[in-house]
Amino acid sequence: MSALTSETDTRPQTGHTTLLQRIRTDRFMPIWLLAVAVFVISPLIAPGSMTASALTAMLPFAGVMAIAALGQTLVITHGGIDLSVPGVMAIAAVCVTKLAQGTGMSTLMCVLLGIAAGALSGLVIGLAVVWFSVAAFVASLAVNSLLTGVVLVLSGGFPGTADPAVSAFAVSSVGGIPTLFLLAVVLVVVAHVVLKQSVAGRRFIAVGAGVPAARIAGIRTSTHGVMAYVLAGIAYATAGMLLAAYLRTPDLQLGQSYQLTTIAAVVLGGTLLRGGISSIIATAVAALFLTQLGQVVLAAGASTAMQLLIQALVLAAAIILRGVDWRRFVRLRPDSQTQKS
Amino acid sequence: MLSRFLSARMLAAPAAALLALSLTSCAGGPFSEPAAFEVDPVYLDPELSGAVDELRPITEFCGDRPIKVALADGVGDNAFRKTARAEFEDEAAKCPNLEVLPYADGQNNPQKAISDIKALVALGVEALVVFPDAGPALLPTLREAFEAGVAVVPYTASPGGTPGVDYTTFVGHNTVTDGAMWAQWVCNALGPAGGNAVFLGGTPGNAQSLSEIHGIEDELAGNPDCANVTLLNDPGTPIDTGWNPAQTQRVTSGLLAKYPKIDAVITDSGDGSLGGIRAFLQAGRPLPVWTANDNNGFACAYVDNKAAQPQFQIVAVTSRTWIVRLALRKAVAAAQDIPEPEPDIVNVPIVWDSLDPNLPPECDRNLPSSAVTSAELSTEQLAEIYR
Repeated sequence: MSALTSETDTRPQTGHTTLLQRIRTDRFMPIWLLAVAVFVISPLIAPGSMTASALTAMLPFAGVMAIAALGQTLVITHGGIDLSVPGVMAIAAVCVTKLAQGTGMSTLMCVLLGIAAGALSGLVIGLAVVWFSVAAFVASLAVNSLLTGVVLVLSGGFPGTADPAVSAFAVSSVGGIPTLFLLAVVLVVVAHVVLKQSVAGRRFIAVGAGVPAARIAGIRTSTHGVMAYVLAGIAYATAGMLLAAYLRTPDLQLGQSYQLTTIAAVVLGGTLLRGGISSIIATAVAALFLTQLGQVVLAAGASTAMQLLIQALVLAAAIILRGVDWRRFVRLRPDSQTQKS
Repeated sequence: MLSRFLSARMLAAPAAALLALSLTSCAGGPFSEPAAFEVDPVYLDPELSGAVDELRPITEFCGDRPIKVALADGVGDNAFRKTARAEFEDEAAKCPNLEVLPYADGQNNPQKAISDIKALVALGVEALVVFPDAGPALLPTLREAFEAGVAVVPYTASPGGTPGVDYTTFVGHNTVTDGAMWAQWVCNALGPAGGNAVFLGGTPGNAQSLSEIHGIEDELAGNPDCANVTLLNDPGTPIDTGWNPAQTQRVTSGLLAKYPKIDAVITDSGDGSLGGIRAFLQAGRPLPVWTANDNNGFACAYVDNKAAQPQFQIVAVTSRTWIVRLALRKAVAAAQDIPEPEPDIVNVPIVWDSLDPNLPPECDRNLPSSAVTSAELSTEQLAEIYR
């Protein structure tokens, strides 16, 4: 988190930073509070929602959302937006279900094919956005439609069934924790460390923070811009394959609900929509928060209308409150005193 | 002052979450009250309903005049629609004087569905079968086609309106009796001890699930065998799953967290049931007795689990893809001015009952999970459409 703080708080750090100061100044801190709050409140709203079985049921979905949102974070770090999530997830799902069933290809080959499909779709979007200056949402939406069509052609409209061994892996658990969730944790931590600690990662962020400055610094901005979409495509494909394996017989719209929730997770996590400031870990925590929120309103027996209202209210409240520049308020007192004197 | 203001603002985000979450406890509040729903009268009119043994072959209604027929679907990319389309084409092929116009897939887009119907009318269709997914939004277009002299028969999903005014007639299966049949079976399967049951519906507010829960509640209230069976749903309110396996799994996990004991799950989707069954298995809870429409994956789930979980019993009514055949017969007969005595609303039969040795659930490992095996198609035809 120190790396994050240094990005978001440019004031000179004098002396010891208290938790309260961290809360006030670290844009990635509120989501941790929200996540803790939702888990603390869950048993009060729905008594069974914090049982081991309820958490075991929730965590795989949180893991899938975190992986997909990881990709979206990379794109938004560069000030872009990616609406191709459902298409990429669906085509990757078809690779590990229908193609694996129909062609007899090995599981590894199908997984590689799924990842390649995600990378290729990301490459197309990235080239359109970076080289041809097409608006990101237009390019990604077009690729999403293209992929949906390809999925229908490949699948014939029928979702296939994942190989029992693959499915068994997806539903397995290690020490009582779902493997899918653990896998998501590993991917998120690795991506976070690479982004924050490696030279390549810092360059990637530098391009997101400002293309002209990065160019002057000698960074290949176009390559990094395209890579954001390619890596995002790989993340969506991974999420799609894992979800397909977990559901065993997925429907072709399995990624539909991730198109906007991944963006919500990124924004809720604290990543700046304009790019440059991001945290993959905060996004993952937001994914966990959103999934548990969904689960707890379900477990409380709320109607669909109520579920949507609550989720919208919480999202709106969190995002509006995030819009307040807390640091301005923190500075106000000494600044105003200076002006008065 | 500022710090106090800040403190208040700092607490606002979690407080907003708290407030919003606490609203869930108002599950009986004004937001969660279901809108008043009245079952479509066509399902309650005994004059319109009939049994499958009253159905007749299309050869009685072919007529002599060559006519153009068409199927306008609201959405085409799922097993049910693909099977229904194959049934429609198979039925039409039995009359040599019928020319089948290109199949129209509305792609879940009401505007496209409307323009598809207009295009088919422009192509000279005389007998048109429509799956009106868009509901009443299609009514003006259906009326326009009907007034232009086309025999228009919407099927399965009622678009509202009046038969004979807005379209020729509506054909469907009796969703109210489906619900009653499921409830009756659940009561028998649970025995005198009874238990807790939940009803999982489809998309929010869909008329099919609302009609089914009407039938379930009436049966539970009126059948003495059901005295000890408790339906955990709010009155008249299906639990929405979107007929989607992933969402059904999430919803079922939520229900398992909320209710320590669930003995019966009544659903109207074989596909969705697979997600629900998975949720039970993952939670380590015993599989309850289960109802659905017939679906290959549902039967396979039973076959796969019955040895380990002897209390797991299932029943399925037919997925009735063949209702489209009845719709075509009605449309062709109307176009040919031939009287059509078949019922408009069919009480569909149970096709699998694990408690009845004569109706064992049949899993075909060669067909996809979504395959509708109760279709009136040969194994070869089924294999071809699911290829």
